[in-house]
Amino acid sequence: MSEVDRLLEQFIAAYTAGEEADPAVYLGELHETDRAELGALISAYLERAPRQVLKPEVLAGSPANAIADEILAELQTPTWKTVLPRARARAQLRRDQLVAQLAAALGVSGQEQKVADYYNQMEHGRLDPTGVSDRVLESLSKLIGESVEALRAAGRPGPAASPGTVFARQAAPDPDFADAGCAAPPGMRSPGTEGEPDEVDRLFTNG
Amino acid sequence: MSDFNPLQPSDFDRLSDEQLIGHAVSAREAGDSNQARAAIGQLVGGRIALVRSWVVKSVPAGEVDDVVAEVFASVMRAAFDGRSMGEFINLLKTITARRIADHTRDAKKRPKTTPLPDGDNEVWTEEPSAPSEEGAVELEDLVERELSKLSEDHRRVVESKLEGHSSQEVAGGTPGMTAVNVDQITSRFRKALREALENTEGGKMEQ
Repeated sequence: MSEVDRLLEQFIAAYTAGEEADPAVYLGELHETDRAELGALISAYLERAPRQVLKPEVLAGSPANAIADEILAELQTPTWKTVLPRARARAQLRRDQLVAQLAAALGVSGQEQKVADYYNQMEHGRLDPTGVSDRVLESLSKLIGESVEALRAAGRPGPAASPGTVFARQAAPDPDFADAGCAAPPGMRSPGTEGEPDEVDRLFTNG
Repeated sequence: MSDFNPLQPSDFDRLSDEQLIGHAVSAREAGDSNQARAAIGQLVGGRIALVRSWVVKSVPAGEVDDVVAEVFASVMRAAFDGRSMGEFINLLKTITARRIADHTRDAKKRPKTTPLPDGDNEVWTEEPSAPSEEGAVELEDLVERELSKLSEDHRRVVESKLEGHSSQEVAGGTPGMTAVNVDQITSRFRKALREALENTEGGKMEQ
């Protein structure tokens, strides 16, 4: 029996037994044409096979579980807390990189710290969305590849997620950004700012 | 009053993919998040191996699960938006090809970034070396292309083998066919498939 056949047989046995059957694990043992052949045969088998019934304990530890949680959370309440970190991750931008580019796009270079404060509040769902201007959303849209409409919709308050919902892929709070507490209402400036409201305040709080 | 009837998770096994999605949509419309979550989990768990088998051919290992998650999220968004599902495996294949193409395009546009510091917990892997757009579908088409060259009888034999049946089982269900005949037909098909893979760009899988 060839290596391709042996691995295909092992893969099918795991699949039909309800075990975790990750094709990558089996493909990882082969190279070049053998690998391509096994990949084609595994896909051809899976296209024809009944849906796998994972054992409950396998499903509980499977990435499928986290994906299902994420889908339900997104379907129920896409919010800035979930949409912004995910889109930023997709764009492969660190928060400081995004903030620098956002400040430049808004024409407020030199005020990155203030933009960072406001953006951090957005990612943590603490900034009143009605105060955030279309210019900010349009600039963010271009930088992170999420539509303005999606960003605006995610900013609207929606129904609370179910108690079992887990935001599996939500970025963890960044210790570099202090937790400023509750949402800042429209017109309220970023914590720590003094004096008259400036352009950055207006962009993020005046709508 | 809602007509929605909750099911036991064990009842999900007898539902087709299309029925399972319909159940998740009905559950959500009826406000039963637990049933919606269970149905989505069953669908993702049952088809994750198939989607992975397509994605792993074109996307670097560290990025496979992100693309897989996007595939299932796209499917469920379409379902919850009320769009027609059609034949589920074909839909899944089409959506997977699109998400792979999106991923490849985004990877090309993505600026080279420096590694993230430990403080930012989002870690990304290397960009794909040179994945072919929709390469997964190219590979699958090779199997179908080679199958289409066979006579109807021989095609049935190879299809049965692709479904995981033994040569004895296939021969038993085919009048005038012996297990040796089945092995010979399958062997010729596999040889043709390997030659096709060797002559195709799509045969060079992501390692």
